[in-house]
Amino acid sequence: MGLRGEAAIAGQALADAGLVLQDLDGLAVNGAHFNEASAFVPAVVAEYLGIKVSFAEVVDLGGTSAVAMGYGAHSNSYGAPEAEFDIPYGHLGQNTGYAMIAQQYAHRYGYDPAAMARIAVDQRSNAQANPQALFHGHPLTVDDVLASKMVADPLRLLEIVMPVAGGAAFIVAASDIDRNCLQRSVTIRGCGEQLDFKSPSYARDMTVTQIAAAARRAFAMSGLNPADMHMAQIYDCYTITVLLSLEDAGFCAKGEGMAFLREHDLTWRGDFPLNTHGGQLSFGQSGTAGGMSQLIEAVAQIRGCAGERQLRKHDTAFVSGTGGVMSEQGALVLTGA
Amino acid sequence: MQQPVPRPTAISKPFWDALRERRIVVPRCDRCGWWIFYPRRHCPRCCSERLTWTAISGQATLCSYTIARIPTLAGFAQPAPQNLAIVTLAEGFNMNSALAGVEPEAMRIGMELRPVFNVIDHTGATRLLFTAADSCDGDNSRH
Repeated sequence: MGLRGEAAIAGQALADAGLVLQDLDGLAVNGAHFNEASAFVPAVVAEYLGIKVSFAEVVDLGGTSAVAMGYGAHSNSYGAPEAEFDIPYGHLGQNTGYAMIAQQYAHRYGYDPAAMARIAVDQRSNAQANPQALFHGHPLTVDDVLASKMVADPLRLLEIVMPVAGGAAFIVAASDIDRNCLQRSVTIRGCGEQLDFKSPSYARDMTVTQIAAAARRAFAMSGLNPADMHMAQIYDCYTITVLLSLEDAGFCAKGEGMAFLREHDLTWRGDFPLNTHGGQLSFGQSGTAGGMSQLIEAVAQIRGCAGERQLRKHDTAFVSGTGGVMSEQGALVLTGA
Repeated sequence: MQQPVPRPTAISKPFWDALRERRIVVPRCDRCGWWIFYPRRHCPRCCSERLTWTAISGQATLCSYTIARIPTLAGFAQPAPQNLAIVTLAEGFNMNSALAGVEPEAMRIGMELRPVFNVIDHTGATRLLFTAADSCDGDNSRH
């Protein structure tokens, strides 16, 4: 989208927070390459926006960048050390890596395609209450998902996120900052981050993701438990990502994810509100800003300004981020002031 | 479109060179015995740099696999459908690969595998594929 678009989004975030450009004193941008710039990225962005900061960094955690600040997968060209042993065998892109994790899961714990499809379907229901979602106005059934093209067994087309153009921004401030904002404050009560491997081929156990350690740390810091959460905004590049994250974050036990999906209504009206904006599967994945949609939805819900899809209980939220093929994981626990 | 040819580095060259001779060698740590795959200059377990290229049989089991109904690259469109595999060598480490001469319906996680040396160009560049341990063909066939 280019720096002009980024500036417009930064302006929206500032107006929403009741702050002005001059209030900013730090900058975190995502991706080693940022639009037009490939080096000195923070300086390029600071100059363009017109801000003077005493802290700046580039976060390169793919889909978990939003959580780490507050993409990609297998290397598609030679250069990275592991790529030399991916590319000659066709291990490219993301679909097949996630598919092989799902196959291993199926072998170990069983697999219910209809239960997995419910993730996509319930999130699509949520998107019907979100005019900003790409698939607003396009409801989906379990049969639609099961009839969609098999891309990499067992993952079907409608279980795979759609890349779109877009961007996102958020502002993190000290709790005592002087600002002109009447909105309810949202507090980061806990955070966690965990990385281990780049390719799940080298994971000790590819069915146990790093979300487990990240979420454990975030919950411990917050003093809250999974059962205390009023909503879960879970990174959803694929349905299998959601299943593994639900288990590893502690919303259900390992291997019981399929039963959990069958037993709960995941819509905003339901007993386990999940990705209430539609998730990236139905909202759209705008590059590395895709994971930010989960964070922004959590903030909107906690503040009580989520419109038609507003939850009745909306004081606590779990947010997760995933980069690579379950490679770079982050978790946040948010609460309303 | 051609399949991508392996591009050995100074660190990995012995692995790819050995495949051309139908042998499999992998660096092993002299100090702690750890098998190092993919090849590195250090042992990621104990950080020793005293490693020895060591021959292995290539006996393995299937850790996971998928069928890519949309080829991951045009060069992998044939033979269809493309499969991708992660195999666990008898020594305990994992390797990315693909299966040769195994129908998708016959693929089972945990199945016993043996190596297939797959020559992919006129220079003799060779990939390490795997096939069912009880299969009698598959060697050096086109994949």
